[in-house]
Amino acid sequence: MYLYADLYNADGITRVGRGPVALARAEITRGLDTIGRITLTAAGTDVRALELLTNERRARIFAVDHTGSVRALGGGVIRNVRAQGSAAAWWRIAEGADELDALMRVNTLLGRTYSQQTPSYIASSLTALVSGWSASGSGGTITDARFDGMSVWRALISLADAQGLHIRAGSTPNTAEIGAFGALAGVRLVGASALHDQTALNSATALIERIEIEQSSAAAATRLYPVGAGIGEALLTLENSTRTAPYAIQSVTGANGVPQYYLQDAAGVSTFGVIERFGKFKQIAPLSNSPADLEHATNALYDVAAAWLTRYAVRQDTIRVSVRGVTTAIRPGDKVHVLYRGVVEQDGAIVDYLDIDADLWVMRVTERVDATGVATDLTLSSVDRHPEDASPLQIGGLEAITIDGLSVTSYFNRVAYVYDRLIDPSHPALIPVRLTNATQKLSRCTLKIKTRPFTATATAATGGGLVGLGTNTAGAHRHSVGADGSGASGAYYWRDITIYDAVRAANAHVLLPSDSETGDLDLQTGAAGDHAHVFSVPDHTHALTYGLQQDSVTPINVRLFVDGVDITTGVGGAWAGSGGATTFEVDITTAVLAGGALQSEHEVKLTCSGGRGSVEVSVEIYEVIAAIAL
Amino acid sequence: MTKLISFGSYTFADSGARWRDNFAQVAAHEIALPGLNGALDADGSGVGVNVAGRIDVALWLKQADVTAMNAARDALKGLLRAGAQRLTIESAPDQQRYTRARVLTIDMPEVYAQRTDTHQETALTFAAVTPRWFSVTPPVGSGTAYACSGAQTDFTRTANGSAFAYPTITVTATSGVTTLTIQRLDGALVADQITYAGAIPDGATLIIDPCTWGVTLNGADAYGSAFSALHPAWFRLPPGAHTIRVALNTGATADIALRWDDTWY
Repeated sequence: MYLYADLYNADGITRVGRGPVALARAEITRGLDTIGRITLTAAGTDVRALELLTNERRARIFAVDHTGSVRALGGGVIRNVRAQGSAAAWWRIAEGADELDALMRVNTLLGRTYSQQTPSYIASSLTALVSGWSASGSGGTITDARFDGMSVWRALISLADAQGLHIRAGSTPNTAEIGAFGALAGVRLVGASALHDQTALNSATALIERIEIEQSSAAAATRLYPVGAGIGEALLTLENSTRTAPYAIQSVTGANGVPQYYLQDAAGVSTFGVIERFGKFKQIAPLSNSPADLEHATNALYDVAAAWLTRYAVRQDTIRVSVRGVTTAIRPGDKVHVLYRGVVEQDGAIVDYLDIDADLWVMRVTERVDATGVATDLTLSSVDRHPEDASPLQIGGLEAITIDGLSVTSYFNRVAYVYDRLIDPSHPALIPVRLTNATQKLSRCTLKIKTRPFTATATAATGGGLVGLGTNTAGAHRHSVGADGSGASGAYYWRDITIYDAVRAANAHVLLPSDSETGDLDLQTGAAGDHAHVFSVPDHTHALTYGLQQDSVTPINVRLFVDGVDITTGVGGAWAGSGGATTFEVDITTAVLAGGALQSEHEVKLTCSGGRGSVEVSVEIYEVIAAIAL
Repeated sequence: MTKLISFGSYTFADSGARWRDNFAQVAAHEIALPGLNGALDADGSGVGVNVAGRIDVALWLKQADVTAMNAARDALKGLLRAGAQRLTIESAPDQQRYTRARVLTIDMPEVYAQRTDTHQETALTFAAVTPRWFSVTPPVGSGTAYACSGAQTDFTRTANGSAFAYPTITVTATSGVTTLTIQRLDGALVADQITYAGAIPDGATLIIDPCTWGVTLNGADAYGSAFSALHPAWFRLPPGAHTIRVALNTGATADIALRWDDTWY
C-alpha cells in the first residue's frame, strides 16, 4: 500500500510539478450534504512536497493497493499547510476542504430564479456556474426556486432541503449529485468471528474493528408548524398549499386568533406523543406575488416540512464503526448492510449484547490511509439525517441572507388614502383601489365613508347695476309727436293735461284742444317714429364674495359596488335612506378578492337614488408585499 | 562469499568476516480484530512491502602497529561524514552490485588480550532506504537509443536480476512529436504503458523517470495532464526479455532509450 497525490493549479485542471508527491498518510472525510476534508502528510524534507503542497493547490489523492490497482481516494483544495517536527521525523501536513469546496467559491448573485423545473435541472444549472463542473441526479418534484446572493453550494443544499433530497460529490472529479440516494453500496460490514476465514473475504466484505451504537430520540418531533419567508403577518404558511400527502394539513387557532397550520406524523405521535416544533424555512418564498407562484411556494414549504418531519418523527439509530478491508469506495448517501452479532456465553447461557442486521445510511465516511493499510470510519444512521441535527434551523445549514430592499422576504404593509367625490343620482362616486404586483397578499381592505351636503366656497359675485346708460347716438336730438297732417271734422274740446316743465322742474297744466271731450289723454309719438335704441355693456369682472356655503341637501339611499358587484346588503347597507349626513365603515376584502385578479385596479362605486352631496372615502389596505423584478 | 568492496571513495580491504542484508524481508501488515483468529492481512494476497534496508558487515582491520591502526579506525569512522553513498559489493568474481546507503553504526571493541592494536574486529551497519542491489555494469541495451518512427516500432530489452527494474526513459525527438506511447508487452498483453500527449519539438528531450516519479521536457517539469501511465509504477522491467513497443504520431521520429540497472533483492 502506498499513497501519492497529484497537485493542480487553482483551476483544478492544470497538473503541476515534476511528478506526484509521495505521501506518508492521508485522511479523507466525505459527508452527505456536507463538504468533506482532506489531510495529506508527506515527508517534511521531500523537496517536491515542499514545492507542491502549498496553499490553494488542488490535490487528488490516490492509493495503490497490494494488487497494484490505483484507487482515487478523493481530492480537495489545500487551505492550511503545517510543518511538524520531532526527534523522530519532520512532516509537511496539508489540510483543506474536499473538492466540493469549489462550489462554495462561486455565487448565484441576486435574483436567480427557476420556475417549475425539476431539482436535477436546477442543480445542473447551478453547478454549471462553476467552471468545469456539472451535476446530475433525479428525484423530487417540479418546483420553483429562487437564490439570492448565496454560494452555489448553499443553493444546492437549499434546493435539496426543500425537496427532501441530498447532495454529494459525484464519482468523477468536478461533479455533484442530487437525489434521494439510499442505494445499497454493495458492501457488507460484518463483525469478525473465529468462524471467519479471511482468505474468503472479498471486496464486498469489510470487517468491523470497532463499533458504537447510539439510539436517540432527543431531536424527535412529531408535529411541525412550518413557515417560510416573511415577517409577522407576512409569513408564508401552508394556507394555500394543495398538497395532501404524506400528511394532511391541519391547523389550530393561535393565541392571536390566526390559524396556524401544521403537519403531524401519526406514527410518531403514537410512539413519542405530540412533540411540537416550529420550523422556519426562510429560504422558501414565492418567486412573484402571483397566486400561482404563491401556491407553488406553499407547496414547496409543504414538501420541505414533510421531508423534515419524516426524518425527525422517528428514533435515530447512529452507528459509528471502524472497519478494515474496504477496497471499494463507500459514498455518503449509499446504504451498507451491517451484520454484527455480539454474543458471549455466560453461566451456560447465550447472551446477545449486540445484534445488528440492517441496511443503514452512510452519513459520513473517513478513510485513513498509511503504510499499514486503509482504516475506514463510518457514521451510519437509520434515517438520512446527521445525528447532530437537532433544529430545523440547522437543516442543511441554511444561509441567512436577507438584503433589505432587495430581499425575497415578504413584509407586512399598511397603506391609507382618502378620496372626496361628488354624488347625485346621475353621477356616482368612483373610487379606484389599485393593487400592483408588489402585493403578494391582501389581508384586509376597509372603507370609511361620510356623506354630507355640497359645500360652496363663495356666495355670489358683487353686483352694482348699470351707470350712465344711454343711446349710442351722440349729440342732442328731438322726437316728433303727432306728426299727422289730417284734421278732425267734428267739434274740439279743451282738455286740461299735465306735462312736465323742465325749466321749472315741475308739472304744468296746459290746455289742449281734443276731438274727445272725455277720458284721459296719453300723448305719445306717432308710429312712424319707431326706432331702436342700442345699448352695450363692455367686458368687466365682478369680485367674488368668499365664504363656505353649504347646501341643505344630502345623498339619499347610498349603495356600494365593488368591481361592478352590488355588495350593499352584504356589508350592512343601504345607508342614508332618508338623507342626512351619514358615516359608515365597511370591509370589502372579500369583494376585492372575489374577482381573482388581485393585482389590478379595483373599482369602488357609490350611488344614491336621491338628493345630492359629497362623499369622503377613506381607504385602508393591509397587505403583504415583496420585492419584485430584482 | 559476498565481499564488501567500497563505500563512496573508501575501499575496504579484502578482510571480510561476516556479511548480511535484509533486502529479502518484507513487513507484515497484520491487524488484530476482535473475534478473529490470527489477524487481518492488510496486504491481502499481493506482494509484501520491504522493510527499510539494513546491511550488517563484520571485517578485520589489520595494521602493523597501533599508530597505523588508529589511522585506519579514524578513516573508517570518517565514513559517517560521507552521508549516503554508493555501497558496492561483490557477490562473485566480476559480479559487483551496489546500493545507496549510509553508515548507521561502526562498532570497534578494543580488547587488550586480542591485540586489537593490530587486529581490530569491526562491525558496520548500513541503512539503505531502497533495499535493492543494482548492477554496477550497465546491462546490454541499457541507455542505448533506438530509432523509432510512426505508428509502431518494436524492440527488445532484457533485464536480469531478481526484482523489478524501473528504467529511465529518454525520448529525443528527431522530428516534431505530438503523441507518444511506450508499452511493455507481456505476450500480447500490455503490461505497462506510458503516454505523453503533448508536443515534443524536434530536438527536444523528454525524460520519464519512474524511480523518482518525475517527468521533464528539456529539463522543465512536464508532469501535466499530457502525461499518463497505465500502472502506478509507470514503467517496470521484471527479469527477462521484453518487447518494447513505441507508437508515435504519423511521420514522427524519435530516438528512445531505456536506461536501467539490473536489480536484485
